[in-house]
Amino acid sequence: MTDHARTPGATTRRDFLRTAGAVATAGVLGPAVARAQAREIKVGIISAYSGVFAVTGKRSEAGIRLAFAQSKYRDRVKYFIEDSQVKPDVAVQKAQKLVEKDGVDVVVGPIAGHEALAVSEYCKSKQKLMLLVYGGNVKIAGENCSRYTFMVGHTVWSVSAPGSPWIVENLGKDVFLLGSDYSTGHDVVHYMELELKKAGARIVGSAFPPFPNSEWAPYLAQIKNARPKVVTGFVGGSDLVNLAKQMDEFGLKRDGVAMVQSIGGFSDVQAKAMGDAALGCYDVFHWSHWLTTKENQEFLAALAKAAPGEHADDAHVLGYDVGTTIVHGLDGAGGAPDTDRMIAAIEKRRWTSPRGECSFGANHAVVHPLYIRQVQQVGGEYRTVPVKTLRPTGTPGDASGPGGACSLKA
Amino acid sequence: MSLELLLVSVLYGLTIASALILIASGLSLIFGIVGVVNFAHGSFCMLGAYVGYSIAAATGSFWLAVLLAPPVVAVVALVIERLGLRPLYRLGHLYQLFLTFALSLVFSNLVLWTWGGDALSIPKPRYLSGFIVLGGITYPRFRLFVLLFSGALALALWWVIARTTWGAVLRAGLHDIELVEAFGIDTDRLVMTVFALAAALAAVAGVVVGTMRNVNPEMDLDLINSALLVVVIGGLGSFRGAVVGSLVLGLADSFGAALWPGLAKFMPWIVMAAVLLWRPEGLMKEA
Repeated sequence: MTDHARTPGATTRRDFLRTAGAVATAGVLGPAVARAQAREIKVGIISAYSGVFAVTGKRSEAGIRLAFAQSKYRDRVKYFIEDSQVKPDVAVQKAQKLVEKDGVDVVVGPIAGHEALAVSEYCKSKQKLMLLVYGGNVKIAGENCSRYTFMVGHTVWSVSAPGSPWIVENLGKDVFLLGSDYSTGHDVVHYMELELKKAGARIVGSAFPPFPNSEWAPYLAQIKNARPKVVTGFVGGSDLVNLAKQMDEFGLKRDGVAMVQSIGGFSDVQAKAMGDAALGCYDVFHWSHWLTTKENQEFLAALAKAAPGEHADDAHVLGYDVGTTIVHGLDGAGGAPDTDRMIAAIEKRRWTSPRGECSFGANHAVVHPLYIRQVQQVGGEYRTVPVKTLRPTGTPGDASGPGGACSLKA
Repeated sequence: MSLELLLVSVLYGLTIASALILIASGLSLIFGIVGVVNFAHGSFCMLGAYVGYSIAAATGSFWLAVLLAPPVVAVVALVIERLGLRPLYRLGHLYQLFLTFALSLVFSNLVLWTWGGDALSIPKPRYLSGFIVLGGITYPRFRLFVLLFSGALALALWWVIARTTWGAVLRAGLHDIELVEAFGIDTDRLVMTVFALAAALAAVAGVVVGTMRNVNPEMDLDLINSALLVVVIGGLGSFRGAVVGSLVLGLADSFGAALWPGLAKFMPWIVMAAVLLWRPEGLMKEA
């Protein structure tokens, strides 16, 4: 609208017209602008919603929802939830459904390494942004890295190998390596053996028990024969509960053999299932419920409000980090779910998560702080308390090893 | 193989075997009496473990869990027998297998719903915690208890089957249930008693194994797998077969893991294949 009559002492009629014009313009254009901004943000979540890992799926979803509820996108986000049943073929089918039928803007990928890799490859082919809660397959940080995939949680490497020097310095040089007989167990043992030897450890023995494996007596007899000071590596799922209990029952703890599990494992919940047997056991992980930082306390308080009665665990935190990362990407893209602009924003993201200072490496794998945690009894409760903070470490993308090298042209 | 490894392997094999007897004998008796391969038998164990967990959590008593979980599971088994299996007896094995398999899926999801997916632990009494040193080897007290307790129960079961009137009827029923019916014996009641007894034994095993290891929603598969292997090795439908099969499987398991860790998972299957080639009907035939 042009204004020809800009003279002092203009009448109220002109003012009225101006105002009316402005209101009219706003009336015509306003809804269009609002519509553009209010375009739905479609978030597709593929996770485990059946079977034993169903808890993990629900918890990480609660974390994602919390992050959005705290953002300005809370009314625009729409979730599309799919159960992958922890099977790669199902996960890819669900990803296809989310991307091709529902038209989601962002995919939150599945939790197990093999399904995460499968979905990441699919999203790469569709140029669809994908974020991983778990799914720490080192190949996704290595030879299969993707411009469209961000590993927000961790990689198998980042929550195992960097803890090795601490183990040698503080617990002993004679190490027995134990890995569940599947890719994660083998990858962890591979990476840890390298780092342990670098730190001056002697590997006195190693074993790869089948998975799942509820009986440890035969392995414990082997371990006893080898006389280690430390047993470490990775034992999957509830096998760890049995291992910790049986190490105690067969007297290894009395003999002063320390137990260090990588990739967490001794969560508060697991520790409760192990009872006194878990006391004194260590693990290597990027978060603890008992971190006293401001960010963690705020997160715990917010989650307690959003999901009363639920004990916050790492699935909540990683879900939350995925959620805030999507929100950060949207902010960077001016509030619209534009894949390229979101990727550019997320690549540069540095933030203080409930876990601590985090950022992304050139291969899009997260760089996070690392804690040595120990199960302790505090007021009749078993807690996995951080006893040592390690400096934020790199990512395995450029390391030699099972993952291969990442050649991502950012 | 060091002497310590040998002794631990023998003890461990016997411990596993004793718990397996409780599960496999029930499975075998049910098959013997009504010809049903009860795939939900592992679910009975798991249900026993979870019910036992809740009882122990509420009362703080391991013994109450061992005592009260079995009747609860026995009632569940009776309901399944009356309402589910009974109409299917006249149809082929496949129908019953489908039903019990479906039930096992229902139970594992019910358990997930009710108790969640995290591993749980039944606390053991103080005097059964820790370990004892036996001739130079360390062995957990609770495992010795499992060995003796399950062994005693298995003996009692043998005594009932071999020495009592009811046992004689049962043995006759295992042989030919129609003939037993022709003698005017209430076979309905016999079938129900066998179901209740089998489920109760499975529940006891569930509580005991759940305490020894942990209670989780996947334990049913683990246990039914072992129990099926046992009855195939020992011979379906026979109590002695369950005992012998359990011993063979327990020892194969422990020595397999000790001597050839890489083959540990296959050991029971290798043994089963060998037994099937040698004696396709299993090691024992008679009840």
